Amino acid sequence: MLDEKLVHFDLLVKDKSEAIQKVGMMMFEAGKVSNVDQYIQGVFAREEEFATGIGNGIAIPHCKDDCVKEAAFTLVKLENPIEWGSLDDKPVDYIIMLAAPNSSDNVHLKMLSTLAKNLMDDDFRSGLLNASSVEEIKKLFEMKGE
Amino acid sequence: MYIVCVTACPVGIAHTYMAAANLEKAVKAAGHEVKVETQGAQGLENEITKEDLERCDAAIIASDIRIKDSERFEDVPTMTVAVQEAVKDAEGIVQELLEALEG
Repeated sequence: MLDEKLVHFDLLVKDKSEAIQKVGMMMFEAGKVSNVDQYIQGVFAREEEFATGIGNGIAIPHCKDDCVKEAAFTLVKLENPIEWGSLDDKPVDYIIMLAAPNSSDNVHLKMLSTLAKNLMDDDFRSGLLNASSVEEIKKLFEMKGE
Repeated sequence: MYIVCVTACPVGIAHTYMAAANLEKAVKAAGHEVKVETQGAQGLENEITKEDLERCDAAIIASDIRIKDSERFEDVPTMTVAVQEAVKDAEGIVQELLEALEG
C-alpha cells in the first residue's frame, strides 16, 4: 500500500495551511482522490474539529470522503517544523496524511488503522522519522507486517 | 483487575486505533487484564460481550462521539475521556482510574 509517489523527504512549506494544500495535491497527483478541492476541504474540516498533531512532531491530517478513490497515506518530512496544534504543543515536521474512501473496503481501512496503531509504537515511530530512503521505510513496514 | 475499554472518533480511521493501542498498553503495563473494543470506520471490532461486562471491574470510554450501545456500561464504574486524551496520555488515565477504584 506504500506508494512511492506519496513519500517525500524535504518538503518546504511555510505553515499548516500550505502543508495541507501541498500534501493534498500529492494525493491528487498520485491518483488517490478524484476532486482535490473537495478532499482538501474535508481535511480542513476535520482539522477544525480537533487538530491532528499526535505529538513527537507528527501530524495525521485525514479525510474520509466520496472523492477518495482508494485508501492511501503520505509520508512527508518537512524541511522546517511548523505550528500545527499538537497534543504535546510541539511543532510538526512529519505529515502522514490519510485518505479513506466512503466504501466499506475494510481491507484497506485496516491498513490505515494498523499504521495509526504502529505510530504508537516507539521503535516503529522513531524508525519512520529517521528513515531517509523508501527502502528503509519498506523494511520497517515489512517488519510490522503491513 | 479486568478493565474494558471502548474507543471511537468522528472519522474512525486513526484516533480510534491509536487510543486503543495506548489504552491496551497502559492497562497491561499496570499489571491488569484489558479488552479494547474499537468503533471505527471498520465497524465494531473486538466487541465487549455480556460476559466481559459481568466479569470486568471498570470501563474506560475514550470517545468524541456517542458510542454504540453505551447503555451496556450502566452498571459498571466507567470513566469517560476524549479520544485525544487516550492518544496523549493513556497511562495517566489508567492510573487515575485505578486510584479511584482502590481509593
